Amino acid sequence: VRLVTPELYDMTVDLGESYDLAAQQPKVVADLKTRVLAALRTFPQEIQEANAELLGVR
Amino acid sequence: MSRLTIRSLAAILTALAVWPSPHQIVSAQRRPNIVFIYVDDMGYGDLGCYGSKAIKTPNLDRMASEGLRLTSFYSVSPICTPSRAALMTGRYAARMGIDQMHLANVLFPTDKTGLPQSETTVARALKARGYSTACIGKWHLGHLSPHRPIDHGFDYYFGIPYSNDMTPSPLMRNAEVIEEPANQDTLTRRYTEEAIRFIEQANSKPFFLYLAHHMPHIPLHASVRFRGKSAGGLYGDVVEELDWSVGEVLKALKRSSLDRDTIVFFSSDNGPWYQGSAGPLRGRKGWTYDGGVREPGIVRWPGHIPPGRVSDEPVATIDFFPTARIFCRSSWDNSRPVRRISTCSSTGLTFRRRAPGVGRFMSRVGIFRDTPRRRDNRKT
Repeated sequence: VRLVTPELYDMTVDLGESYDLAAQQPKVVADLKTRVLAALRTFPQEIQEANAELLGVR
Repeated sequence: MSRLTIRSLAAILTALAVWPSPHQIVSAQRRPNIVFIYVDDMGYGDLGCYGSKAIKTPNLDRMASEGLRLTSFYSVSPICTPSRAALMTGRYAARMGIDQMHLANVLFPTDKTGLPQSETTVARALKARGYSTACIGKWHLGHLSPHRPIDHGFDYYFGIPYSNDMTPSPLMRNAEVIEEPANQDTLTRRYTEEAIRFIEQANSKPFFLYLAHHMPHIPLHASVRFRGKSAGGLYGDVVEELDWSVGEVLKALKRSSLDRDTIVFFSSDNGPWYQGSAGPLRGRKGWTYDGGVREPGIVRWPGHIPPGRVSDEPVATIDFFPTARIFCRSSWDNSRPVRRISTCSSTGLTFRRRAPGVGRFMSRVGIFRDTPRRRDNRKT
């Protein structure tokens, strides 16, 4: 299963990850996505290419 | 969400006030032995000290009460091979360039590949520092040369080299097959006996023991004396035998007067599969919701880790290698400064360098499905 739509959970009140807050907290999602992409760029080229849609180059 | 940040900060300050500083820990006089007990496909909720009502685990509960119980301990993959690659090397499997070793992939008996020689395992690093090293149980990072435990810094190997549901299932001692198919009913008991023998033969030499049980991965097997005993059915019997095994290993350390010189870790490679409980968490093996990757994490080191600690600090299996290196390097050259690290967790046990600007957060997108990270208490 490949999830390309971000989901966001508040683990302090929702340990079971039942309530997706991504739509309500777009800034948090954007911040975390920036960090994911920064981390992804440290991975080998073929891994980056496999995730091109995330990086926005495809 | 700002209160989450405040909560985390308060937790860290509280922990720092109580814990010895990392420098106090690394100036310990003796090189500690390290035992890492890793079970297979056991869930976050399968131990008494993590809330199980059905399964009795008095030895692990006692181990936790005598040491540190981590409530946010993460495997960096929800499946076997990449989890183990990360535990052994401190690096994400996706960095290693082997397609069969990351994402939803595991190695199979037909695969010729495995953990590359370009990777340094914790065993190789400790062996270079004079440690005796043994891998007992499941390896699953390649069963052919040069990918086997004995090719990656382990002096000794005993076990089935990959998952116990794969065919053939050879029981091996070093490079030699001694039983095929392996009698799995006695596997947990024999792994325990092998581990105790290794501890007792250590003499004065420091050692690293990686005891990677095959259970409770399916097919489930338990010794006759444990079968039909648990309220958790056969799965419960299997976990209760694993609990017995932990108790036997700790007893052996005490008998050898190595109790205070040995750090013992316990965890599972990923969440539960068909049976088993992830407790309150969502998801199971194969998923990067917490039920797939958050695992029991227990660390015991009498005299160094205060008893009865519980920490919610996020810690991951990739923290194990750098932590082990720092503990084990310190005492043979006290004049050398500990390698500079940028982050030290409030548990006092986890040291790890992070790329600048990369925080802790969880992601289950694309390749990052197998690289969970968590930032404060937010996940995406």
